This record gives sequence, C-alpha cells and structure tokens, in this order.
Amino acid sequence: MASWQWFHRLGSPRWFYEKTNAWMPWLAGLSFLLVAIGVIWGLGFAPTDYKQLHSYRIIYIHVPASAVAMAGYYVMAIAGGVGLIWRMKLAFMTMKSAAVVGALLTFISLVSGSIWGRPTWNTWWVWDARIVSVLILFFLYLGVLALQDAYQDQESGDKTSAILALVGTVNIPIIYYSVEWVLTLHQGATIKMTGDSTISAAMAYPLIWMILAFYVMYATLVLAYTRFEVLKRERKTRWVEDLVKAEAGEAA
Amino acid sequence: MSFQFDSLMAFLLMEIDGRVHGPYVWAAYLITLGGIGGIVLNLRLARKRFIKQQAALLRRRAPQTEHVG
Repeated sequence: MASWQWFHRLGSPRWFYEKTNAWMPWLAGLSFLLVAIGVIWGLGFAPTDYKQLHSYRIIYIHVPASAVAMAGYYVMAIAGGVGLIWRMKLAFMTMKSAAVVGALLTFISLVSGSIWGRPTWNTWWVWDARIVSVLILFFLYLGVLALQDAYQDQESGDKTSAILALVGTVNIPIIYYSVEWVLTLHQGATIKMTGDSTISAAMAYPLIWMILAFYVMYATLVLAYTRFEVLKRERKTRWVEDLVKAEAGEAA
Repeated sequence: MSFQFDSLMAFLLMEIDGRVHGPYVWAAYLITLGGIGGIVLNLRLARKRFIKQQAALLRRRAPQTEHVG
C-alpha cells in the first residue's frame, strides 16, 4: 500500500508542484550539460562516415529527436489514459505538456531528416512510408493540442484529446516497422536492441549519449511545462495566489 | 579520439572531395537549437506574463473578497 502512496499523491497538483520545485535547476543543468557534450562529440570528434562523409553528423540530433518523439507519444497517451480512468487532473496536464514537447521533437525530426536527405538522396522530401508516418505523428500531436482548446470547458477538451492520444498509439509501431514492411528510401534502424547494429562503436557511443541526453531534456521540458500548466489551472486556489503574491512581490 | 578537422574553417565548411556539407549540418543543428531555445523562452515569458496578470487581478480584487483555497 505504501508503495502506491506516491501515485495517490499525484492527485494533488500542489504536492507535485512543490515536490518538483527543487528538481528543476538540477534537471535543467544536467540536460544542458549532456546535450552540450553530445553535440561537441558528434560534431567534432566522431569519425567521418566513408559514404555520407560529414552530412551523417545530422544523425546526432535526428535519431534522438525521432526516438524521443515516438517514446514521448506513449508518455502522452498513458497520461491521457490515466486521466480518463482515474480522473487525475495532473495526468491531463502532463498529457498537454507532453504534446507540446513531442510536437517540437517531431518537427525537429522532420526538418533535420529533410536537410539530411538533400545531400544524401538529392531531395528534400519523398512520400516514403517512414517519413509520412512521422508526419502523421506530428499531426497527431497538433491534433491533441488543438482539441485541448476546442471546447469551452477544460474537462471536455482533456477527455477528447486523451481519446485521440490513445487512438494515435497505433501509429507508433507503424513508424517503427515501416522500414521493414515497405521498401523505403529511408534506411533501417541504425542501433538494434537485438542483432548487430549497422554503425561502428566510435559513431554509436555519441549517438547513444545524445539519445540519453534527449530523454533527460524531454523529461525536464515536460516537467517545466506541466508545472506551468498546474499554475494556470490552479490559479484560483489559495496556494497559487500566495505564490503569485510572493513572486510578484519579489519582482517589484 | 581526436578532433576531426584541421581548422575552424574546415569545421564550419565540413568539406571533403569538393562536397561541402557544413551548411546542411549547421542548419539542422541551428534549427534544433532555435526550436528548443524557443520553447524554453516561450515558457519563461508565458510564466512571467501569467504571474504579472494574476498579481494585477489579485490587487484589483483584494479589498472586495476573501478566497478559500
């Protein structure tokens, strides 16, 4: 029973806000450090690819952004599911924050992939199964965000967007397996959980580092957005009013 | 592990055999940086605006009502 206490406490946005207050500077600092080291490693120190030459260095942002955008969709959908089942306000707030950050990462994935495609495939865009399924992922994220604001009352927006988030999970395995099911211009998985990876260790280590860095950054951004969402939605409560007075007093 | 470029210009251009990849690589990284920086800045500004608006609202309401949290 005690092990579930943290879950029940999440029902209180105030508890969440106060608990995460001390984490934010550490998480932000760690994210910055991890990303900075990964960028320097990938851009300057990773060996040059014999075929794609230096253009392959885009992999160090394209793959982490894509991987976290896909995993982040599950975070959003699970948060939506928790909100629907347990009627937990904080879950809906997390869902909305995950949609904002996920949409950005999917956008980065699409744009960096497009830029990488130009020197590699001699084209900015192809209607390829992998690329189109990621474009659908981007629209799903935007759809969740649009539905949040499509209703007069917040509860209807939360519920409808949670349903869209849950339905959209069907797209994630499609994205992942699209390069195996369909003959695509997009290459297959570079790092494989099972089987041999198609990348040398000297190139793979900074890539794994950057994937980890993007996960930490994702967690930081989602936490920061959720905390702001808590403030907005709880603005009529005494504790937020006190916080506003204290911060406004400091600023004055 | 060593730095893969001979000079800063070589690092910026990323040229091998007449193929210059620097603009593609740097564009991808700068757009990523801009996107992440933008979302962080947007959050900070939105939070600041929210605190300002709520503080003004509380000041206007202060003499009239008592709030129960």
